[in-house]
Amino acid sequence: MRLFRILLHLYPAAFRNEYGEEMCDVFAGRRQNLALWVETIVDVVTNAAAAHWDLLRQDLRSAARSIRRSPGFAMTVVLVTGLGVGANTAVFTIADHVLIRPLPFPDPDRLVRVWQAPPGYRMELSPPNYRDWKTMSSSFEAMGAYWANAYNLVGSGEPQRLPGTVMTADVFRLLGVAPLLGRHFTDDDDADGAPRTVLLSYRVWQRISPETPVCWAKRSSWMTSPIQ
Amino acid sequence: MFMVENADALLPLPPVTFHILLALADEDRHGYAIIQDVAMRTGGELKLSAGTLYRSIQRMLEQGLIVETRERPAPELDDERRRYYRITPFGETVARAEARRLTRLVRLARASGFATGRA
Repeated sequence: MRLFRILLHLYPAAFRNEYGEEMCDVFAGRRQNLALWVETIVDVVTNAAAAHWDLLRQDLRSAARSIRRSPGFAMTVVLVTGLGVGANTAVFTIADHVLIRPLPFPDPDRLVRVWQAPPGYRMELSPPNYRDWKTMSSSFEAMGAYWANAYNLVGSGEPQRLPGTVMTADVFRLLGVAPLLGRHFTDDDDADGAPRTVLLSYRVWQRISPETPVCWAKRSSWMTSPIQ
Repeated sequence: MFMVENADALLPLPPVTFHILLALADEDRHGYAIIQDVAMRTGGELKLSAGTLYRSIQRMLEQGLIVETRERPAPELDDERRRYYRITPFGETVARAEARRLTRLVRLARASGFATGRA
């Protein structure tokens, strides 16, 4: 009987509260054997599904009647609900990409950013301090430095202002990523007097031809250098 | 609860509904007694399960074909846990309409030679 009462939970709560005891009485009055149990389980599953469907149809009929009586209110509710769903989707999408998804690098939980932290504020590292930290640190497997900047790309169609990043040779090795074509930076690129080397993003590379001579300009000083 | 005013709107009746109305035609019964009566009338061919019975009862209550009655039979026959159901005048009207419909069908079947007896 306990198992039958558990099976009754498949029915909607209202139906179970109304007729559950009587159904238990009916079940108790029958001779219980394996065949009855099989028949009972099939009966409960099919009738419970039908009972839920009946409830759903009643609710849909009632909702349709309400909408017909007040179409303006219904439209307002739909619009507001749609705005809410849209806003929630946008927020959760951003949260997912920024906070939840791991960084798209191997071993992202081992990547850390470090700053100098004088009392009261945080500041980026000076190059000499970076070199000292890299030499003296025993806590990190590798260290690289980077800072963001912007550059003018001229010589390939309209001049374009592109965001860029200056970095030491270690950064891409640290991140464990390789370029689609060509090579990433090596220690030779870090050496004093080494030619300026640029790694283009896929989007920029799509826009310009490798044969086109271009100028990279930073702020107000113009420099011309071949792309390497 | 939704009430149907026109008996013909409920036709054709599901067979289980018709059998329950037949079981209640003579007297008020509780659920288990309805199951037993239907089984006896049909010679064991139709054995209602509890789920089928009470889903039908729920629908028939909503349609106004039956009501739950507060009157109890004689104490020695009564089980206070059980609820008794009674056919309503509307339920009788619907049962008669269904019986007429089935009679017409049988007549047609006889006329076509699918059933024995006079058309």
